[in-house]
Amino acid sequence: MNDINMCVDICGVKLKNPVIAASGTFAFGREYSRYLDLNKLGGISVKGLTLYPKEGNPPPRIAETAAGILNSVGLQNPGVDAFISNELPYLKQFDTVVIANLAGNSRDEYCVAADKLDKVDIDMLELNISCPNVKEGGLSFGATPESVYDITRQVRNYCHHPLVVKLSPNVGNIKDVASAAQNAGADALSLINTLLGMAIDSHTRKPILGNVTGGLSGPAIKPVALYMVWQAAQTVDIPVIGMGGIMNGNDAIEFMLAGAVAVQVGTANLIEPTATVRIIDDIERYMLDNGLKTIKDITGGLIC
Amino acid sequence: MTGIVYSNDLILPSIYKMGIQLGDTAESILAGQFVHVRCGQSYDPLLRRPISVCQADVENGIIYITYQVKGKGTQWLAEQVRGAKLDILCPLGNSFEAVMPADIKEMWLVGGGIGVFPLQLLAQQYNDKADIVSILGFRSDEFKPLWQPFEQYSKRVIIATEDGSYGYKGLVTDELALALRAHKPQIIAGCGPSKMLKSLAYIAEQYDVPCIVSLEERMGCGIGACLVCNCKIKSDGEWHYRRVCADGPVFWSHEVSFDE
Repeated sequence: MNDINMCVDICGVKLKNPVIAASGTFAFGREYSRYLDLNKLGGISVKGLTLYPKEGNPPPRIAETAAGILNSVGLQNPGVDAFISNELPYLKQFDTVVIANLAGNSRDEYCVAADKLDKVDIDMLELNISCPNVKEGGLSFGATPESVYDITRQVRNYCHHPLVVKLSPNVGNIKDVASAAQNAGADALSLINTLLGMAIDSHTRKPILGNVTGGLSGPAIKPVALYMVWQAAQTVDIPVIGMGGIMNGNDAIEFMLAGAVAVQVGTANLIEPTATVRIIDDIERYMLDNGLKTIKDITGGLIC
Repeated sequence: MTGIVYSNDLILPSIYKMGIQLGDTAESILAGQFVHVRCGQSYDPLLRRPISVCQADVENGIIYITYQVKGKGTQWLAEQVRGAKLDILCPLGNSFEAVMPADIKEMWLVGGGIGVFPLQLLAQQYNDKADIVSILGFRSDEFKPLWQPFEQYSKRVIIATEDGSYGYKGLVTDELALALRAHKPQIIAGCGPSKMLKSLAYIAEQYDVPCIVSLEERMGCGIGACLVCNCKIKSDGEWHYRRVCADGPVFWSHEVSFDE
């Protein structure tokens, strides 16, 4: 129909289009297969994995805020071994890039789990050092340039897959953190994870979330995310994957103009299971309308 | 899918009953399942609203939901008129039928307040297969429109009101315990506030009657992916979080941990 090429290359991994389902909103894809053809997606970043199974935080785990949601799931997941034996074979049936998102409580846990994932057929490892909902580890690894450098370096030793480091917005200076990840050997960056927040019920005087605090996502955080992606993309030479409140193709294109080579779609999946596919179609239409042939014609194209 | 608003009537202060045309899908919805409704196109409210189905008119392809206006989402719903289009995911959830044994001949429905609606569809779908006794509790007789629909599907309806303005004065669970002293049904199905369900689970265990309950929790995706609506389910001496939206909302009451 047209000669538009939506493929993107992220450190040698070829994605058929720049739209990836974001970790924590897409489980392991099964639930969404009833609503969309997973083969259409550029990639799937699976639910955050830890070395051992994790039950997560007490409910309620979600609070709706103005144009956003707070969640405090706390990395509930079946553990790396169960992922490898039960979920990965399912995902490998599809022609889409599989990104294993890895979190942990300690350096050792990250490394042992990364080693396990190194031996299986995933396409990329996304190092999650930015989950705000776990008491130990998670965000603390992503909070400073030093800690980011250290954990990235450690995991890099065990990871021969392309390594994406997912950055937290809850930091002093995103540029320093982005540089630290690059210097420690990251092949790409993804950002932003959720912003720390809370919601209070004025009638009961209690926090709405069982965990008291949570991570804010959705359209409410898009301007913050765009800014941070723009800053990071200017700072590093490695590819940047942008995310934070992308609800439609136009949002995705804004992230690419700010410097992202690809995008992740998270909260939108919770509202509309087919959001990713619609966004892919939107991007294609934008390219067609603007006479653009490749995604490269968009990425970093911000005029300012 | 797209549903078309067929009716949207205020039946009690702040409580509406909405008919939604869903075509052939109406037939496939089982009691205990819910619809996940997008309330407008804006980002505020952002999330869908999960609402259980209370009645089905299979012949005309219409399902009914009853909802209380509590916030922006339900306020938007209340403003919709006949012919309006609704973005709906359905049917979601496991249903009562998926949990309970197949050969039920006698079932007691125990519900409280505005949580009784899933039981209404259960009564409708089972009254030709089983003898149904509905034991329902409300604050006062003002809530009569909520229990009236149970009358045509139940062999007997027992009402408890907190203020004694209708039926027995007291809690629905007290009425249940009294009734169980005289007779034990094959199964109890319950729905209502978690405090009531906790009490129901206790009583059912005391009288050794199998009991299933439909739970509610704040929800995200509604399809089992985001893991925000979890409840604690016990098995083999351990508990695990299970998804209310996809593993439930109906569970055996003795498996639910109501400690939260």
